[in-house]
Amino acid sequence: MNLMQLQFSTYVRNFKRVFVWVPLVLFMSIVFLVIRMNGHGSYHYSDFNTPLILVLGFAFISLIAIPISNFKMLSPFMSFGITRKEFIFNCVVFNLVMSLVMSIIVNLTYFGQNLLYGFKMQHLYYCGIASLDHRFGTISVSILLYFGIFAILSSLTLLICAVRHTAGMYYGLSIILLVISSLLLFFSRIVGFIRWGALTSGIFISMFLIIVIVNGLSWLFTLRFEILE
Amino acid sequence: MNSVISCQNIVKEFDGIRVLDGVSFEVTENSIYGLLGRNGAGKTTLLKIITDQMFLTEGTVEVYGENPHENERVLKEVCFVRENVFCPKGFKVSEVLNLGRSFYSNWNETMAKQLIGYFELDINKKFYQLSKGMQSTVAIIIGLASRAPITIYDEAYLGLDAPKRELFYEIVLKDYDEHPRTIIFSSHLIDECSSLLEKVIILNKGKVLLTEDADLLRERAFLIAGRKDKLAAYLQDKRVLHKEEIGKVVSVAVFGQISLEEQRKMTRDEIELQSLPLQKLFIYLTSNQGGDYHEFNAAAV
Repeated sequence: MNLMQLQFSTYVRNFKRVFVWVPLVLFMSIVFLVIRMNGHGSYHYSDFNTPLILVLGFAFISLIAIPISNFKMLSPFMSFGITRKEFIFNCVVFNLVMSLVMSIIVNLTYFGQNLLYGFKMQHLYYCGIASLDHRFGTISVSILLYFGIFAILSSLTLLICAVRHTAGMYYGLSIILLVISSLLLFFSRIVGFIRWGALTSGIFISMFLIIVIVNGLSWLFTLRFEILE
Repeated sequence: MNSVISCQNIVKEFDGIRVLDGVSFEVTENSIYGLLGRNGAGKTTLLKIITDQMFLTEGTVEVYGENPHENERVLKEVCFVRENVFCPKGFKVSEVLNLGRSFYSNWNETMAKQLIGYFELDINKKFYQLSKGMQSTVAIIIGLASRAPITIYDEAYLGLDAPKRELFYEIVLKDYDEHPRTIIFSSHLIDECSSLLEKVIILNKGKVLLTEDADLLRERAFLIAGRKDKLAAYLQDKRVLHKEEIGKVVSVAVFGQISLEEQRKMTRDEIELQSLPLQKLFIYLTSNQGGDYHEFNAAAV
């Protein structure tokens, strides 16, 4: 069993750990909800493609779960002689591979959904985001697009894990910022001050990203993390 | 003999608290070491620094003459077996052993299978369904079968019951005879494993109290008991580690050479002489009754 197999194995077995990361899922859901709302602050059932939403949710949760399981499960194996470089390299590669897999699954769901709704053959050419808006191009572009989104999401989670591992204070702060920005965005949409809500939420999100990216990257590049229990 | 681990003036601080304070010692190739110290003496921290799981605040560590930090070549030569064995949740024992097999190039599968039989380990059970003792068994099987040139047992065997611990010591010794390597036992329970140890490093409050050949310690540590007035003459050139008085009889733990002539004299004066077990020596050295031990030098006594 090599490191990559170990990662996949631990990922499958520790999927439930994702629920610790409710704030991030909450944020994503609220953003999604806000985007899908019509101009009157309400939404209609038909706005949602149920299978797609489920698959997207699964993909998001999975890609959040991967770095967590990597961290939880792999770091103690460093007593078996794994170097930090090897550990991080495996985490990043595994994240990217899983992002690609999830992107393909999401696009296949679009494809299946189109079949289900009786689209004509020429529409099947367009999948994923492309099926919603033809400007995004073909299935390959759609896969790349989702791959990008998922890779960013999983990398961000990896960085959050890194921050959590090294600087608990920054970790706590980043989670608080994320929750505040989600709530701001949501309530401003409800009361109709969407512009101000988006602005303040954007400020908080920027602070969150700065904390996570700066601290996380410094952790990854300096390779100075200890195995603490 | 070649030095495989060299620690020079290691200092480790956690939030300003000094856990290791100027620790220096050498570990030579193909020897069995006992790293002894009370709880909180800094044993695990020191071992984690040697295996690059922690960073030192000051000082230098070398394993095979190289800095172990991010040094794959060096780290693959070390098997660090911990007391609290880590394993991903849901893994079976067989899978945990598979991990050991994949990480250690010298892994001996035949030995692993034999050990599974000796210790009556059910490899189809999930690791976390095992008792604490059986989890320790998995850890020591990894340590033994890894045949890593440097194998460190950080109190890993303490969870085993007495017969299994005995079996473990027997196997370690037999395997060491056939395949010499460097083994470090980190422990605060010394009596059982003392016969295995060739060299002893005693750590106390983050400092090295002594580094010595175990045989030398056994030859020079004594318990002398007799009448107070007759005993005084024998204690002059010896280091008194511990003293107990019951009426006119005094029992003294000493460290120093006792010649044959002196031993004969003691018999004439009805003074009892016993060698002091390593465990007792350790207790007296690390308790607060022995005065200033920081400059304790066994060879000089």
